[in-house]
Amino acid sequence: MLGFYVLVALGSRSPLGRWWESLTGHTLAFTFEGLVIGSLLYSLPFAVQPFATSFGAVDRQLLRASASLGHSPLQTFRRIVLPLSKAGLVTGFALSFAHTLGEFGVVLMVGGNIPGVTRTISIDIYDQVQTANYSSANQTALVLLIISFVVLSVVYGANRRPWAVGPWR
Amino acid sequence: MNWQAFWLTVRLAAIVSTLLIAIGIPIAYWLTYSRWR
Repeated sequence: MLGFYVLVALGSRSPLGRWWESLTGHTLAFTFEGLVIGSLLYSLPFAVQPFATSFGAVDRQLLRASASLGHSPLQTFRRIVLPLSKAGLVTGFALSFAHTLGEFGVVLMVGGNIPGVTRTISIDIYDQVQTANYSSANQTALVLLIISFVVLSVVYGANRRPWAVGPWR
Repeated sequence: MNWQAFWLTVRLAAIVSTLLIAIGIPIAYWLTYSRWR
C-alpha cells in the first residue's frame, strides 16, 4: 500500500515527480534516490518512536531548571535532552538500519529490480527463490540474518547499563 | 552471494538511517513537547 502511493507520488504525473524531472531530466521512480525516499517513509516510525520515548523519559525538573537558568528551549534540548537520550537515538538508528536492510515490498514497488541501481539483497533472495536456487537464497538470507542480529546485539549490548542490575549497586 | 546487491542494500540502509536521525529528531521533539498532547 505505502509502496504504491510512494510510486504514484514520485511518478512523472505528480507535482513532485514533474519538479524532479524538470530538475534532473529523469523521474524519481525506479532510481536509487526514489528508493531512499520510499525507505525514509517506510522506516520513519522505527526511528521516531524510540526518539520520542527517550525524550519523554527525561526528567521535566531538569528542563525547568535549565529554563530558570535562562536557557532557551533549543539550548535545553541540545545540552540536556539530547545527551540524556543517547540510548534512544542509538536504538532508533539501529532499528531503522535493520528495518531498511530487510525491506521488500516498498523497494520492489518504488525501485523495481534494476541490477546495481535498485536491486537490494531481499529482492535478490526473491529472484533466487523464483529460479529455485534455494542454496544460494539460503546463503544470502543467512548473511542478512547474521548482520541484523549482530547490529541489534551490539546496539542493545551498548545500551545496557550493567550497574543497574549488578549486585554492587 | 550477490555482493553488488549486498553493498547497495548496506549503502541504502546507512543513508536512510542517517537521514532519519536528522528528520526524526524534530518530529520526535514535536510529538513529545507540543502543548496539544
